[in-house]
Amino acid sequence: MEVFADGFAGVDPIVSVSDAVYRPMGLAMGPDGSLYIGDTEKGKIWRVMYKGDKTTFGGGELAAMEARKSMAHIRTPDQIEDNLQRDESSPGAAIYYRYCGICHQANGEGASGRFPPLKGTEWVTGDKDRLIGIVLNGVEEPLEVNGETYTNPMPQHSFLSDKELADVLTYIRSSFGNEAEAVMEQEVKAVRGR
Amino acid sequence: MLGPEYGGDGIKVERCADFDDPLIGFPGHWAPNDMLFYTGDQFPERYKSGAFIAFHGSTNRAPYPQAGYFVAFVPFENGNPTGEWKCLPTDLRAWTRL
Repeated sequence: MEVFADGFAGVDPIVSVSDAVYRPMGLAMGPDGSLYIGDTEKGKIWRVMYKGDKTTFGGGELAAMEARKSMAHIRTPDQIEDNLQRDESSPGAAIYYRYCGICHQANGEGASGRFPPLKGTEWVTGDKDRLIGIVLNGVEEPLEVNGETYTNPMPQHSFLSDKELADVLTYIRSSFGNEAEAVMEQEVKAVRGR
Repeated sequence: MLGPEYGGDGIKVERCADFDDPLIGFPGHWAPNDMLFYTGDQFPERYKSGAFIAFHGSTNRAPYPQAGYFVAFVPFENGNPTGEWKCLPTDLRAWTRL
């Protein structure tokens, strides 16, 4: 396998999905042999044309592309060096990375069309009982978050202890630019008992 | 190889032995979403023998950074891909999630 075209994300490493400016999705060939590449984030389309000397193309160009394989979004991750979760600053952060960040992402912005953001939404910074209930019981119905409707179910997390839930909810209410007050263990206990 | 969701341990093959091996495998979560065998005349000749693949890229590679997000070219020879993707899973848990 060779790297043919990269740089779509605009960053490396790509920590959260929303960090990527563009993501390649579709390929097509024009009648003149140009390659068209379509993107899903902004709807951009690139037309790739070859303007060089076809008879001399080869080793040098391919070696340059081979070197691109060392980038973090292409290489095999190092189990220690590339582990983004090795700095777990608080118990809430550790729980977040383990159970939540996989979908809602490290920056709390989710992934458009699939997973709602936790950043800047009343669902997180508003009513605590409602928030506790969502994480304890999960949600099957579609949810509208910041103007977008999400239909993926939110799995229930009742297996977490009251303390763990309080820690992780406190973390999401005070991260990603959110500034809402902490959730207490007793508050989780009260909702669980209903 | 049997996936860990189905009882695999990184060694067991079991019923997977009934299926053909893929011609080429890529690291998990790269999300190959389109493939095009180039038939045009504009690019250097070598691109007529192989496939372009658009990797939309991962959402979930925790604990590692996201991966994919590029367009690859896989050279073919006599109907099979040449070379090998040498990037083998080092941590099975990270490579087999949805």
